[in-house]
Amino acid sequence: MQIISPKKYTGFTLIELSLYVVIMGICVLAISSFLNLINNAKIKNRLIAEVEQQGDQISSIIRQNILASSGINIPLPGSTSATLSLSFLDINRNPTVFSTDATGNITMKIGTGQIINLNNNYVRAENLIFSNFSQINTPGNINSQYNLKMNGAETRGEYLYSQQFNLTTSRR
Amino acid sequence: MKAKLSQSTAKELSHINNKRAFALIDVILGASLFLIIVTFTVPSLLYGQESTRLSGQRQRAVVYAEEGLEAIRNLRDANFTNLSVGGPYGLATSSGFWTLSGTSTTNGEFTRQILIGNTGTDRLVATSTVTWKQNAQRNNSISLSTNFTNWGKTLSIPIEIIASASTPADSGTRGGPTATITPPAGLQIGDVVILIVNYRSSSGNISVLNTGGQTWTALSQVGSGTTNILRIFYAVYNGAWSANPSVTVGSGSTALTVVMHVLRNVDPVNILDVPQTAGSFSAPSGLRDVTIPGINTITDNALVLAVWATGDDNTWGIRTSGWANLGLAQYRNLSGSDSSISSAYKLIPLAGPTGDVVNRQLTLGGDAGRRAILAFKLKP
Repeated sequence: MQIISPKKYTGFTLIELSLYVVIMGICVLAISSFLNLINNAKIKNRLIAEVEQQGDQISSIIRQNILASSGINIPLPGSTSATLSLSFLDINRNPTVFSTDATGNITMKIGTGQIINLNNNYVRAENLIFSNFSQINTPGNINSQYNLKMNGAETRGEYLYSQQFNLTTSRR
Repeated sequence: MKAKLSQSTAKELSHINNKRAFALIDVILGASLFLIIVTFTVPSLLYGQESTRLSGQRQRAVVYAEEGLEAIRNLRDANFTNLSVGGPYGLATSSGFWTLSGTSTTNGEFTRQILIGNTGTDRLVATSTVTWKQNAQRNNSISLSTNFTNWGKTLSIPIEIIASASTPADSGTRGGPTATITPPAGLQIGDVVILIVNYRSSSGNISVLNTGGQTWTALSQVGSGTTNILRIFYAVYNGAWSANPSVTVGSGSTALTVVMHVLRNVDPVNILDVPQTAGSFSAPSGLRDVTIPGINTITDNALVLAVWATGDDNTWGIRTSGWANLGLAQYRNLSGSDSSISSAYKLIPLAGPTGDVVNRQLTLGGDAGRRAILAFKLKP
């Protein structure tokens, strides 16, 4: 009876076990870092989209108002201001004022109405500045500049995205 | 028995072995599949993120290009002449308002150049091109164009020819030293009155004797020492003649002719667009064509006036198309040794060369004489 008993094959050896653990470890690590990568990409993607789209939207609202206005109250030609005040023939819209509040929202106040935030809570604006670069005796030309960035104290790379927006509009 | 056992064990063994081999392959297969998925997914995720950024970048480039056109619009609103055809131009705001400056403007990653092209009178096309580096290998650019017109331009009526008069009438006689002229009817305040004086003598100084209440400007006299002397005067009519104006040569009784032309809508401040170029021409041979070399007008819609004067009673005929006689084809004076004056004009819509003008001595030709050419500026 030199034949080896089948009993010997009922369990795994230590080497086999360690091999499995190592392979499993590698798999888990790979999958988790892959998921992490996807998550970061999702965050960053959304952040970039938020900043870019909101910047575009805010710019077009400012542009529409400048085009529809009947004049520019502030800033005066040749000067700059953190506030843009436009006059309108429509008394309900006169004046329409663009500015920033203490929390970093770009705000718009139409006539005596409520103050409206032009951006949502995901982003914050800073360095909003309006420059009146009009030549004399022209309907007027306004340059608007502001930065948008992610709202929050996160300092990780995927949460950091800041973009400067620059818009120039001539009144017709 | 031995053989039987050994066979079944071998079977079992091979079964176990098969199972283990399958599990390993499974792992390798799984890992490979995972790797393949990762290889395809990660770049697409990164690319998705990059494309969002790039579309934003492109959007901002468009806005930056628009800024160029908006600035050009403001410059146009201020004054159409702020825009001169050419480029590339940059823009500056250093003085507090937009000005064309340099050959390009850079803002962060974007560089903008503006080209201004001509599409006709009072029409321009401005092209704002923004270039940026998408990455180290790839340059991107977008171009926006807008047509600009000088819609705010005040249209001015072209220079009009109102009337002409002469002393003497054509083929009349009048000798020096003075000649008085009766202004034609229908003058209005601001009209420009031109006096063309031809004196059939080699010496003498032609001057205005009686101003008639007007302020006359005398242009250089030409022809001393020759058969005849030519001089042109002009004044802006102030609304009333205090007397019929007269000219004098001091002394002398040879033929003295004064021709008066009246123009309207000439700039009363800067009357002349191009100062007078005057000289003498020698007796023409052959067909007896006398050419006055063209000049270059400086402003649009100027009226260019060319004058021929001889010491003989020639008849004249203009040979250059586009030119017409101002008043009669000729004003002859048959006093003593005769003389003649012929004048022609042309409106030059766009500032530039007027071209030469040829006037032919149709009869009694082959006479030397004096010539002058000058241009009057349209009222802005």
